[in-house]
Amino acid sequence: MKQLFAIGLCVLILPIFVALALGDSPATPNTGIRQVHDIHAENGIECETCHEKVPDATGLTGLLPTMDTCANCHDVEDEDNCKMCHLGEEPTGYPKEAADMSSGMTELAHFPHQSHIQKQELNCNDCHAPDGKGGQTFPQHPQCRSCHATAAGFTDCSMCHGANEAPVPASHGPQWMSEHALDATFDQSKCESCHTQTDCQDCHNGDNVRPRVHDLNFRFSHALEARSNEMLCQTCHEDPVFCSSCHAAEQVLPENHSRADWVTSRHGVEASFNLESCIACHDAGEQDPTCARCHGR
Amino acid sequence: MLLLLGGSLLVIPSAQARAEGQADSGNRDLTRAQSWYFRTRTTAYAYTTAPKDAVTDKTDHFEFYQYLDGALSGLAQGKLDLRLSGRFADDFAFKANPTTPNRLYSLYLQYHTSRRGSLRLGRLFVQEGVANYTMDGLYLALKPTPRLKLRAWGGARSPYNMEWEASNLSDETALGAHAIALLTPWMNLGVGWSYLEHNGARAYQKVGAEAALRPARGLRTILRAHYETESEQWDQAELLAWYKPTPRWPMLNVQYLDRRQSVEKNTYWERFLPSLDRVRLARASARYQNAEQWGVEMEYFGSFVDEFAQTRLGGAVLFPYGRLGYSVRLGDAGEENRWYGDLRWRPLNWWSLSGGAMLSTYALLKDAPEDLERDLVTLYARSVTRLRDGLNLHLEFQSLDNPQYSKDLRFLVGIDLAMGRGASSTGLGTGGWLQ
Repeated sequence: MKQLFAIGLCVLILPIFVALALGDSPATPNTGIRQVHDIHAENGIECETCHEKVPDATGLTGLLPTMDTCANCHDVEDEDNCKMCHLGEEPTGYPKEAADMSSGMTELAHFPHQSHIQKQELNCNDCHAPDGKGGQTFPQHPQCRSCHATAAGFTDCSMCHGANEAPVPASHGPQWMSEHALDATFDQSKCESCHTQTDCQDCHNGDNVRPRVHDLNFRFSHALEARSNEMLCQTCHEDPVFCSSCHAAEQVLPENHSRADWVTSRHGVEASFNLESCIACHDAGEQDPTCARCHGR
Repeated sequence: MLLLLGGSLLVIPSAQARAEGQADSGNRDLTRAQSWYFRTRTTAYAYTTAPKDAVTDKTDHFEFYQYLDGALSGLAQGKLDLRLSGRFADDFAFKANPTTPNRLYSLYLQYHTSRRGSLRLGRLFVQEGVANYTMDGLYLALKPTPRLKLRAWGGARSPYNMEWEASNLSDETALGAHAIALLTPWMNLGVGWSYLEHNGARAYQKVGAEAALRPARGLRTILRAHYETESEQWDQAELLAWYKPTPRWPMLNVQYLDRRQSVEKNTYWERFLPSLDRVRLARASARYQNAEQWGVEMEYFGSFVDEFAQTRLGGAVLFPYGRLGYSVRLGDAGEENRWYGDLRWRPLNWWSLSGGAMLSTYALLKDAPEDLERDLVTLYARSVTRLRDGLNLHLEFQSLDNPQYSKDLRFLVGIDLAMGRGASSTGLGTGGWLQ
């Protein structure tokens, strides 16, 4: 029955994917200003007519046109014309400055339009493609990487994100270590816009040298985290090989095993709370584990 | 799932043609840049452990790690990439050290079939929907429309310790698929399927669905649920949310996880499954830091398995060069009081210093008597010197005080060497040394 439910769920979702495939491209966030790039372009108006500072800009401030810019061609005093540009909606997208466009998730320290336009002779549309709705898109990391094939350890990132500060998104907060797996499994390609798979190994390398996943003295207090499921040890460590390399070799019993009622009753209670910990040491692979002596084969 | 993929693939051609038309109308075709890089990390780590019991002998360690990491990108008119990452390791002074196996993390060829598709072959990570492992096999990624991503993979799950040898395909079969739909700017949906064998027997078969939502400005949430088809049980349900409406607002974050205990099918342990309780975890954190780097961060973690409960609360003050914090754990798994702090300082552009300390009093039992309380003291100091672009020297000293060793002083020396060419096809930031 439950299996049918799962299959039914997939079938229900199918039409959504079909609709998506037939649908339009993602909408540009609402800036509160009507997107009229296409109309201006059709009338032969160059981008720098409105974005006049862009060709010489090395930063991201002052790049968006103000109402004074519009007034060069339009009668902005005529209230009947307001709705020509102003949608009358609360902006949800890009704020006044292009520098703030990241909405607080990651800030660009600088971006040199000047070198892209003057030295590399790129056109605006090379990075800001039309979105099909009158607006232009902002480039995403994969687009940057079509030219800046940045390798880990090199300096390309700092060209936009500042030389001395890692461009860390705000989501990478105090508990990011516990959370990043979910974010990564939802859309791995999002991680790959900044990280290569090599970056994963910087932490998931197993030697705990630098940077460290666990505290240096973690060996002595790890039971606290293991028993409270704060981390799932089996994600990285093969049981029982890894555990027994210390517990068996150095004959160290987990502290709770020394309780007086451990064999008679307590071990069953704790096993129902965290059987994963039992398996970590007592799994004997193809052979019967210690538990089989009482619990049967 | 096959039905789902099949249905989606049917609509690819027309949608793809339209999407490419849109892209070509504005975008110059920027061919992927050719580049290569090779990076090595060499770390030597010497320490001596002298047990407090004075019965066992002291042990000398001299651990050595040699990491290799390289890539060739943009070959064959930008269509082909090769990536490699692995390590060699040894303990020259203590050969029985179990923590120093050689490892191959990834080694794969990537072929870009078009701007919207790629194929990977070799050892690679798969972090997709229900699946989360390293695999030796084939991985296909398609983006038939700007709003739809499809992935499918098959092969053998790599050994846990990432040996250089591949797993047996018939023993560790790993198959899966994942589709992500970018429905609107504020809602993405994903569905996935994963099948895994271990030692030739089915370990699990799961289907799952995820939703990523941005219901309000600055609020981002991910919901996920996994269903195990073999045992017909919900395997895992999870909620993750971040809230930061403006750059100056604190980042608030909550996570809730409800999962079954991880017990593979067809093992001795399967018989205990009906009597196992579900694991419920809750996390929350807040972090605020102003432009001058002053701020605070707070953390909460709670674990609940039936009446078994464990809580951790922590808070830290952030200041321009570091932080100072305190956390406390209480519950059935044990107790801990911990003070911790770390410092970071970059006196020169090419030289950075960091250090940290942690003082902990802990007990591995609830309401433990005083004689079962132990102390841990951890101190470390690190210097990283950039001798030139692509060449870094690491020096680190660690002092550990713990229940087992009367002496545990560690010295680490590391050299990072990176070299590459063509890191940017436009001549900007051409990378490390040996151009």
